[in-house]
Amino acid sequence: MGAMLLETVDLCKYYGSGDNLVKAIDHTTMDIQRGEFTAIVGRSGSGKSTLLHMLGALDRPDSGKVLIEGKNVFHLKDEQLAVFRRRKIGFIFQNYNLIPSLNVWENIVLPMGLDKKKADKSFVLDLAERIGIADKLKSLPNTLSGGQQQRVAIARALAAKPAIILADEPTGNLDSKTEMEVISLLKACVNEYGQTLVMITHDETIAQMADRILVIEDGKVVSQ
Amino acid sequence: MDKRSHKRVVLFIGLLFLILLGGALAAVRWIDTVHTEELEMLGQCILLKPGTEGEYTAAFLGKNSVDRERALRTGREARDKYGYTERFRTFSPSLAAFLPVLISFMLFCTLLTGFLIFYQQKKRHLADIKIFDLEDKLAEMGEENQILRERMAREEAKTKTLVTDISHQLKTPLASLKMCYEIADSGSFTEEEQQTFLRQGIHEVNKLENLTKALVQISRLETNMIRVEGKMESLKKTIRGAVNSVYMKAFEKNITISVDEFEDEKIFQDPKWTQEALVNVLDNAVKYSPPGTEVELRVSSMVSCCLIEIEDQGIGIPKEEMHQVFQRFYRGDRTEVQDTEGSGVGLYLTRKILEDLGGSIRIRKGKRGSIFQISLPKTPYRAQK
Repeated sequence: MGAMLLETVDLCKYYGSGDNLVKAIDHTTMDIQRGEFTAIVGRSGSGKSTLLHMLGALDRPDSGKVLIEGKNVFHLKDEQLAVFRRRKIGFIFQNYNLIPSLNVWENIVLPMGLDKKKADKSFVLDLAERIGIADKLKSLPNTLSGGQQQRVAIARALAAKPAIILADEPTGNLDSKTEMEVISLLKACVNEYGQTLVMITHDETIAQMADRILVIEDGKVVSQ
Repeated sequence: MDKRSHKRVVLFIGLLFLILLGGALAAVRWIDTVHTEELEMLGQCILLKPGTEGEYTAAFLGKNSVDRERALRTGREARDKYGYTERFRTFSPSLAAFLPVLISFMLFCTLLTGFLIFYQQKKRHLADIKIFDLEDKLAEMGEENQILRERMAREEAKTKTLVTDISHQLKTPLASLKMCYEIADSGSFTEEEQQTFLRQGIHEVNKLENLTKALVQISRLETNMIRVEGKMESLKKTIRGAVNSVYMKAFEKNITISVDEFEDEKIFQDPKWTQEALVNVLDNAVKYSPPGTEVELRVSSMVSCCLIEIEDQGIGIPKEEMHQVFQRFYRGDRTEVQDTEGSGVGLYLTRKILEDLGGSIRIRKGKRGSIFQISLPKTPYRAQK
């Protein structure tokens, strides 16, 4: 068994062919330790989102492996993979991806419902309190500000206590102060619950707050 | 056996019983129908030839002495002669009457088999998931073990690098100190030159003293000899303490430190260490700013944290160095930095203290210099360790 929580081995993902061949991920080998906050920095089009999708087993690579706790996730059957993903990984996206017809509480506990797991009510309430959305649980997402919506998305990702949180430009739409607050909040929560955070960003000032920075260029990790 | 398998056995026996009961009922009914038909036939024969009642009855009961082969042949001849074909070809009424029972029985059996197969598959599927779960748990346990081992190895490596780093840091000032004394001690220099080297020596001693102080703090923090213990305390008091301790230094350099008015709040912090963290940032701001400039401190109250921004009008930090300044013993290689006294410890300590409290720090480019953004959570934070 590998010592790493998350590993990629010689990962490749190409789009198109011939002259239009785009090497989104090109022979990328990297690893992420448990409990670490890693920032993956790169310009837009550098392949960082594709990499995050692979890490989260949302997309299959052309070749190479993604190992989570030493297990090759693409060897799992689709259904097992879905269960595995819901239990192991929490996702946070730039555009929040909240369901507009569900209120904040329902949005937060939705993934656990899919897994037929009972939500740990006191834990989620604690989390909501900590994140500062305790008074908004009955509200619908579109009545909240961007910062508040991202807080809800963070709560949703953390609620099932997954081992890994994958965040794709989580503060892309927020102002500098709210950005700082959201990232520190995320960082503190992840430390508090012993989780591992991998964040994609193009903003070096966010990367500063990480324990480790991976720079990705043209589908390759160029510095660690 | 657990409750579930008991349930399964009971279900199975029940189904078996139902099948047997259905089969038995169908058989009884069939026998009954055949019997009725035979009796009806016997009655018809008797009614057609009323004189011979006894013989017919004996024939039906199989008690007469007629050869069976001969009887069959005669029966066939009669059929051929009178064209009884239709009657003989169709199902016997007894069989026809039995047909619905047979069909529903077969249907029932098919459904039952289908259900059993489906049930089995579902069970297997559940078992698969369970195996998957168990494997997962096993992996998790192995992983936990691994983490402990890793953590130990990391601690060891950390201590080793700390020792190496510290010795390295001590080497340079110590070497120049040694040189100063050697020169001051040798007779080949004038009195005045010797005095200069002695003064330089004292300067190096002071530098060493400062460095040792910083190193002691680092090693205490790193080896967890000192714990940063957060409690709910006034932020204003901490900030006032931090500003006061760099005030004289700023005053001497003609740098103004201004603090924007803000509403005091009790937040989660360790007053002594939070102050230390802020002092380090303020001290840096003063150190790397030209005289006559201003250092501005602003506090914003956010939902979950307090945000402290310290903006200077100093030399700034190049983008590619921004994340490195928080590394232990890191110092920029620009001359402005190299000419200023410092050990590369302050910001590293600041970050460590803030992170131990659940806070963060980052640097942004300001209008003229840098902005240090510091967040501290309002609510208690307990990191897993």
